[in-house]
Amino acid sequence: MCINLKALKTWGLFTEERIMFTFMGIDYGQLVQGDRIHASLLHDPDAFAEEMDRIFIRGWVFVGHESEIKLQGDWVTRQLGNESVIMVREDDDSVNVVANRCAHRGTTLCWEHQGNSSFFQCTYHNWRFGLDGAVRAIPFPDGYTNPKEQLGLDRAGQIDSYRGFVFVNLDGSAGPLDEHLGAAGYELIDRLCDLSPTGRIDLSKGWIAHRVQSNWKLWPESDSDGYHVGFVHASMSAATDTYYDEVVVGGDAVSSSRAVDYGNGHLELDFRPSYKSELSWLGVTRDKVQDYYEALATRVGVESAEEMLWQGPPHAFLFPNLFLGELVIAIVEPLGPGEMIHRHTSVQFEGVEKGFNQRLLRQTEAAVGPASFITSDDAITAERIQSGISGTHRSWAKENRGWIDLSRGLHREEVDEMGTRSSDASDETTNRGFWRRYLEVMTRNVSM
Amino acid sequence: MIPGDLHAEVEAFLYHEARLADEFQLDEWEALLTDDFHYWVPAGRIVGEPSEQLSYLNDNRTRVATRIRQLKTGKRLSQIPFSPMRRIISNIEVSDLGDDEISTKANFVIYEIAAQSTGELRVWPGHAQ
Repeated sequence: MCINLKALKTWGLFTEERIMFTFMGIDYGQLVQGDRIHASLLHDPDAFAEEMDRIFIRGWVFVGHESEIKLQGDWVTRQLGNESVIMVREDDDSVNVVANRCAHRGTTLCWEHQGNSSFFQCTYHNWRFGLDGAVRAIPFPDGYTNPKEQLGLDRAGQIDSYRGFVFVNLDGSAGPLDEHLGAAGYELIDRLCDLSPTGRIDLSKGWIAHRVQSNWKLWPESDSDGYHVGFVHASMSAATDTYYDEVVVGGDAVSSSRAVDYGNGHLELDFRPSYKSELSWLGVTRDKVQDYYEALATRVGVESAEEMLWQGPPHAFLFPNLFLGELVIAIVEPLGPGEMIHRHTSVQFEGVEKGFNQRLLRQTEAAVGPASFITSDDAITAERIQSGISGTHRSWAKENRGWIDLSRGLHREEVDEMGTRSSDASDETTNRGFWRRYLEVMTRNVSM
Repeated sequence: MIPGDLHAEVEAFLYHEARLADEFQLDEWEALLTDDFHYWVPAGRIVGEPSEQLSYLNDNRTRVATRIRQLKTGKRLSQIPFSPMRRIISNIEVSDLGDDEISTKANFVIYEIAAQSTGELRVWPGHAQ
């Protein structure tokens, strides 16, 4: 690359240092520190491109739930960073994830969000692929001499699932899923699914997209931030009877709940110490859901059932893109350095009566989405952050400008023997946990 | 066939309702609602009953009241300031269902300026009935 430094400087647009920074690559170790991160990471297009590769291609990401594709041939499309993929139930009932891109000329294969097919056919030259991604038929095949096995769809390098949650590692280099999820990742998913009378949940009510003009990393932060709730969501507290008042709004509640960093970027706002009555998280008393309680007690026993009614589902974030928001599940979908989708659905329990699951749907509609009582205000906040930080540049780090402070509660953070860090729910332990993992991945998963 | 004066009355009602909503005259707008008011904004394809689906919005009368109460707290960040917006209503069809009931369908386009953050112009075309 030939750059006329002198000309750029003459125009007065760049200092020499700025130009060097631009072409030297990003020093993540300099920009992510223990108690602060540099704001440029929230809009820098170079950082975004590297994140899509190092986090979304080379790492494990959540792709969907098995209940979305119950029948053979059922498929859904999903956006994983820059890659559109198809998650499909194969003829042998296994779950497969392939690129949503014809192996011939790259045409998108499925342009609807879901469907059922016995094969995928490209509309350009009618190449046909099996649900396993292998090429099945090519018009006028005598024009080809390459072996057919070379002509299949790109497949995810690794696919694994736990209690219906399907994760993929597109390039296959990330090591096993259990290393990524760790004991905490499994326990969080268990705590949610165990609340269902059958132990199984269903996520097939469809996903609603909420487009936000912010960097994707603002949402793992916001979804696991206990400090903002009393302020950003003050109107919700004032207008509704919400259990958030008892677990995360105001000094006492925030001090009894815990902000937890389990490592690997998996985070929780642990509300369990704060609930003042059983079933607070469902907004009902037990007599209203007696059938549910009895079905649960039949499976797990009375003692466990009683405890679970108090504890409720987790409010947790699994790195890098899955939010377990009590009875809402959301996917964080990056679209560009300053644009993303927060895509959500409602948890539905198996083995409960219709009215119970309808309550969960209405609760989800109240909590998340552009017309909701809660995350609409988070979205505006994220957009205000985005416009606030959009002028920062990574070269400013040395000049001590453009930093974002994440030091809250460092002095009172506790670390247990497993390495789990926890603190007051208003502390930035969760935010620091996200960025600690970010730094690990961004400096490790570097392509050669 | 719907008489011209009934059609004109429906049209005038819709324009009035739209203006109150455009101008955030929330009390006057809410006063137009009946107790069995149901406000549903489905997400994508409509399959089965509203109660069985996950929607953008599926409000009974109580939840609409809560929504308005939240807007009026003065702390609703996503509507500080209120979005400058205008609803354009067209293609109005009125049919007589008998027993003093009518059904109305219309197309709309809403122009909204996201004055709370990005300042972008958002255009929401749709159909209401």
